[in-house]
Amino acid sequence: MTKLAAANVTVLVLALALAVACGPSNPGGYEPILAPSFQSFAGMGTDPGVHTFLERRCGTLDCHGQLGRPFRLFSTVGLRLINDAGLVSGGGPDTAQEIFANYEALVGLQPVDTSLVTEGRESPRSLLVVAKPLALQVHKGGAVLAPGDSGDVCLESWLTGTYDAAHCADAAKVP
Amino acid sequence: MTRRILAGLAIASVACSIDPFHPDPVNQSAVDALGPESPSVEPGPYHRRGQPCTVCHSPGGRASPPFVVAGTVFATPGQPVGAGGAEVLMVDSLGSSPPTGSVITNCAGNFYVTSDLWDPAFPIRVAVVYRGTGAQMQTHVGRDGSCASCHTASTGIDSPGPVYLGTTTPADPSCPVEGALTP
Repeated sequence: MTKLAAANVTVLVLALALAVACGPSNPGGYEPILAPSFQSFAGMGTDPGVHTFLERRCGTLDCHGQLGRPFRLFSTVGLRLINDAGLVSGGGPDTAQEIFANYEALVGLQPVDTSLVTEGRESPRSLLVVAKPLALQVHKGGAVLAPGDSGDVCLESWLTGTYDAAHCADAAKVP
Repeated sequence: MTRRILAGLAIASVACSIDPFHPDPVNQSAVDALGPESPSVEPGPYHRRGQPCTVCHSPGGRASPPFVVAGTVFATPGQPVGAGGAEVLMVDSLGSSPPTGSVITNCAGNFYVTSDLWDPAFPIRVAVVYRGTGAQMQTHVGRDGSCASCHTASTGIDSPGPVYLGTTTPADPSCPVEGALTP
């Protein structure tokens, strides 16, 4: 092999190595998202889950229980999901569809950043759903949680995969 | 050159100024949705019952005085009969309340609170008491001082319907609003 041919092979190998190193990490081009637990969000039995606290504290009709809100919550005490069962605001318990819609609204607000928090790579307070109620970012409703209170602990523990049912139950009580 | 600078400044000042003849279009839309005044009721404490008061009665709004909380308590569901003499009890997030006996519905069922009387830190909790019995609102009020913003005339997915007592006391003929109810 001449020197020129050897150089060409070296360049080709380097180009291939670069192409592999800089390409997508999986063939589909998508990174998997790690979402916080839906079971903990929905609760079960005596565990009210995260959703009960969010609906009662944030989902009133004059706040996040409004259709026009980017982060919108459905519940028996606020806005109802369009339904054929005749369920109206203030009548009938939450439906499974409403709870799942709320979960999607919360996780879907910042899916990649939420995944980073659940993986332990970012602080939960970097997320809008925590920073806004703590008034760390501008929030039209002002500071509705205080750092370390039951609502804050409920939300942050759930987001980081260390769900605290006791604090969520306390936060779900009508203030 | 000087003329151009002056002309530019004049244009900029006009563009940046608030035109009093073209108010906030969002608020204007909300006002338009209220419709005209009833010809049988003068503007005042008895008018526009069941409507969201703070659309107009808000700081910088088109009606005075501005209210921090205001609304209407009806006697029965489905009928436009106001309930007079009901006390509206409220407490804010700091534990503050208006003085006892200071927020009572008039014969049209209307009540209002100005910031001189009470300036709450939202959210607030609300209850209505009438002749010794009452009911507390299931949820808190997050930030909207108009009861009727959520308690609209009809029940639906986005409203529990109007606030009412569920009483059948006869109407007060001396009230300036037809079909009013007094204690």
